[in-house]
Amino acid sequence: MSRRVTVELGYPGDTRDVTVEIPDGEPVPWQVPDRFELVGRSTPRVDGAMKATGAARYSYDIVLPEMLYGAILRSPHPAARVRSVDLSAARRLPGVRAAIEIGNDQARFAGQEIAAVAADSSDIADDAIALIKVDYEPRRFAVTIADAAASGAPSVFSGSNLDKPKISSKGDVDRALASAAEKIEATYVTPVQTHVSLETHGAVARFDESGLTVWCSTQGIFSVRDDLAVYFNLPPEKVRVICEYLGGGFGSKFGARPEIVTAARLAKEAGAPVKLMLPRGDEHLATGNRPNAEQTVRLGADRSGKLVAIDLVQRGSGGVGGGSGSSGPFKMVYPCDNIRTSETNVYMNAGPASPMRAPGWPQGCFGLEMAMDELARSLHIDRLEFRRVNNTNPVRAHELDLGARAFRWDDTKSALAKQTGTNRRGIGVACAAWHALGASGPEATAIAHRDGHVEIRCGTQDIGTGTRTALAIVAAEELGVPISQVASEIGDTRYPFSLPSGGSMSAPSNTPAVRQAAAHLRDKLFRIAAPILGAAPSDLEARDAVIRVRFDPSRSVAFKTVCRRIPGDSISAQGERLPNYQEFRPDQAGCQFAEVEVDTETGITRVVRVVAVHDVGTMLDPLTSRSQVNGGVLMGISYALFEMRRMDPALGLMMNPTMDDYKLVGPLDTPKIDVIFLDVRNGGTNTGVLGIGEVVHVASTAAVACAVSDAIGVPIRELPLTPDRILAALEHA
Amino acid sequence: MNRFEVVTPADVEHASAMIAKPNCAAIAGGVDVLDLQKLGVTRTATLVNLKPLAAMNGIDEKPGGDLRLGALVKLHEVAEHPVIRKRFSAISDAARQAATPQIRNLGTVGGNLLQRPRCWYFRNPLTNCLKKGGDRCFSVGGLNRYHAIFGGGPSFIVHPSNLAPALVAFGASAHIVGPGGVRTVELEKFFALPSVDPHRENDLKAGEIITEIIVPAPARGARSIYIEAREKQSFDWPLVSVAAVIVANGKTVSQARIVMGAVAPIPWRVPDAERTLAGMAPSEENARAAAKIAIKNAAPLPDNGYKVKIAEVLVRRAILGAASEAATASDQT
Amino acid sequence: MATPKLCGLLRTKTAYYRTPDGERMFDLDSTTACYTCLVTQQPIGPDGEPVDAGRCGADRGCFEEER
Repeated sequence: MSRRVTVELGYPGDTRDVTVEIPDGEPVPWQVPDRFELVGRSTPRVDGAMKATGAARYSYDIVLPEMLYGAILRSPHPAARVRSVDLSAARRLPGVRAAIEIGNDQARFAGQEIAAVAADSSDIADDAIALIKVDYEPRRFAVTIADAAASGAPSVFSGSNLDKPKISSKGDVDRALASAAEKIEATYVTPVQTHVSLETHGAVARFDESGLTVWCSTQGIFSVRDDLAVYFNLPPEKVRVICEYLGGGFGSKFGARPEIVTAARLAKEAGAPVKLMLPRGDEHLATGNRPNAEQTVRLGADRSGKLVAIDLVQRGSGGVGGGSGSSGPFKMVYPCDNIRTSETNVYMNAGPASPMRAPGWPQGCFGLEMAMDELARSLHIDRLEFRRVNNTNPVRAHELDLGARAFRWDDTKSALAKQTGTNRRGIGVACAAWHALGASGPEATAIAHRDGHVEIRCGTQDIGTGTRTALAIVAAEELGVPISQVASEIGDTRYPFSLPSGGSMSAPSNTPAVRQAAAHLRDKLFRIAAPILGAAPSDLEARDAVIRVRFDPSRSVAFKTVCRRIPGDSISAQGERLPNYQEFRPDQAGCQFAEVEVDTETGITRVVRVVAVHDVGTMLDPLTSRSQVNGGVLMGISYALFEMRRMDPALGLMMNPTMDDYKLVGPLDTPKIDVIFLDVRNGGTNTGVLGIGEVVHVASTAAVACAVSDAIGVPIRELPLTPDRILAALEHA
Repeated sequence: MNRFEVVTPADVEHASAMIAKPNCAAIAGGVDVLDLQKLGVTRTATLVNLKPLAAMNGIDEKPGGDLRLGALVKLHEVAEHPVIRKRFSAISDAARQAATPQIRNLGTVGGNLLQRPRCWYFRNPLTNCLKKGGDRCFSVGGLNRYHAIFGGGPSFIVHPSNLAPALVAFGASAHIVGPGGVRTVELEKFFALPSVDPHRENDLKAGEIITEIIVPAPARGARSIYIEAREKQSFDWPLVSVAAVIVANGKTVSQARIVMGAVAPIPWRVPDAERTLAGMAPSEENARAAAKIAIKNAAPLPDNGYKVKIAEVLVRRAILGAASEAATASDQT
Repeated sequence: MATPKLCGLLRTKTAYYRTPDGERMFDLDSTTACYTCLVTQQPIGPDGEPVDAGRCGADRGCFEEER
């Protein structure tokens, strides 16, 4: 059975009533007038102390009885035929318990897995790796787009290194460009960026009579479970995957990756548990990256500044893999009648790409927004105004106003017009879009115990964004109990199913399941409380740690007293994540403003301040949300100014696979970051919470890059914006 | 990681005898020594722990005004020491800008001077470069954005020490204990170009240990400065650093010592630029002229021409920075 | 448009999510999807050729049904 309810969605100043059909037992979606005890207030992370004290157990911390240590031998050659792998000397080394070939008879990038061992200690494992004799027949290779795309380039596979272009087109771009009042064309280049998760990839694997148990650093425990079940031909219930805590993933930790499969293969071969956590250098070589891109952008606009054509021709390389497109922002940020994109993946002998925080978008946003700035200058239109003219999303329009005010765009611009001296400041603005209302699939269990404490079980995992806290807030809100009374149990495939934590899916996919489970649990508790209060269950509400009669709050009973009436040890209820209802808006808008200061004599750049404005759907917790924005902005600054996988084209090797040489943003590079959240009741689920992990990162790099070009008065179209590039640009200005 | 043993010597002479043996080396803070062991660049079997040698510790201002820095003094002690900050500020500035607080709490003066190059070819286990016994410097024709713009060939590493340029600018010397006894060498002559021997960066012989650094008392009216340009402001190596000690009498410079770091395989002193300043007012114009002279012999590689520009800017800024301090000091005395 | 039959061992991020019909989700038009083969855990098939939704159909020698 279901019912139709009308809910008021949107945000103060722009609301609208939407009627949705919801099944019985499903809570009514949170709407504009709803007032909360916990939702929308800052809640310190429920597991913060565990993390700060080291009590939180990461995969790295797992130690099992009889546990062995695994290590992987990787190809030192960017391209080679593997004629033979001789494991005999490694096997003979005392303390070595297993040695396996990984079975790649061709090495296609330096760092590709060739063989692996498990031994009594990691030192012995490293010694054994050195004893493996591999007969390589080195081959020609290419590790840059230019080299791989050149005629006569050595083929990474049997065919051409250039994949078929993927073309998408609407309208008539050529005609629109030809008749445009103003147009620009430029090429924007972005480097390969690696994920650099704080916790490296890896797993501890154990085979025993109950099957295969794996503790691993993953964004998707169920994705690993299902992959391992297929790989080892086991029923899924014989595979258990645990990830209590995860030190970041950024998209690089889905499924049964090579090091997870290898750990399990070694455990099977050795008949003992094996721990295989990767060393830091391997992270840069073989666990994924954001592909590079060369984007040639053509934009045309009419006299009023309205875009009439957007054209992107790009190529990028996912190394030995694909996925190097960047057209997303070109298609989705500024509506235009004529849009054409052409994307070509180029294979080359370098580590494969993997999804990375808004795949394709930071690089696309950089190309698009830099081009927008260049066109705005040709049109003599203020750059912010140019965005406003071309924005049709009312949420973003509001955000641009809020941001411009907080950033003092006009005043800053006037002040900067008068600046003198060799240190030059500049400002930039960039727009972000995403779609982050999650998906159905997750389930949750809510359990009330006799002592009054509540447990939420959900087989999700915390990629670091505060998932336990988010789930506990929702359950505590629904049950009207303090958050300290709620424990979130996650990170184990024995809990109800949930989806991988990627694509900004976690909070929007899991919180509705938890809310439904909590609502069902509350209804069960109401049935216990009803006779005590002499009222019908449907007349009760749960607030302030009591259950009370809605129209007569003086008739109440403590939540804990009700729990004492539980006949057994506990009662539980299930919740499921239903498909999305009609949303207030299907997309998610954001914008970011940046001010930078460039020392024009040394080319050294400092980001002074950033203002980030974001639609978060229902604001669940400003504290963790703010933390996500800080992370997204900093990662964007890092990509704008510092990060780049540097490949030696002659050697075919990455020359900076260390945290010393691979330059990451640090505390002294951190600007003042002001965050403005737009609490938009979305209505797409019973919570209307949006994921924000990606949207908060999309525009950060572009805003900084636009600001740098503004500061020095000449566009720099290639990242990272290092001193050499800035000085060269100034010289040619 | 390679397995190794750590042994504790009774005194400096004992330590010296121990590290004179093959496959032995000294360890103090361990910041660089352990990195190199982990990377497999070194495979030293025995590390001789210098940390307990109290004689190598301490910061002292001698009666004549010389400064003595024990080789085991930590970078953070150098950065914070009131005498160094007052009278040898380039040295404390250099220490303060090195690495991170954690590393400055471990890293020592001796280790900072003796650390091996940061060159990514030298540190990559897959490349057998010239410095590791191979036959070529991969930075030639390779990725050389951070490499030498002066004094390169056949290797193009840059000397990574922050302290070295500052100490050379002050004319400091190293006390060295070795199997042959004790010797004192001016730091300026201690560092060695790759054209002398590409396998080492200094003149330390087998079994020798730097026990202390002596910084002579600066002339009256001397002021010093150390500045550096880094891509990142947190935990990064300088692209270029400059230490300058300027002695001014009244309105003119009587003496200047200017040393650049991170631009050459050794701390790179620029005597021609120093001479240009002598007898001149430390004006913007004269600083510019001296800076131009400082870089005139630069021989950049394809990717590091920008370092020449930065070097010129930093030399000018260092001269003006030190001179303005010196002028103030001179007015007061 | 009917989704062509794809190898049961083909992996990509979206395929860890399911459509409302319970099918693995593949976005054939995606230009950012990174694919791997479960056998090799690389974007390279057992036959040494690239893997992606355009290449891992029933006509490929190493094709397997979804288990």
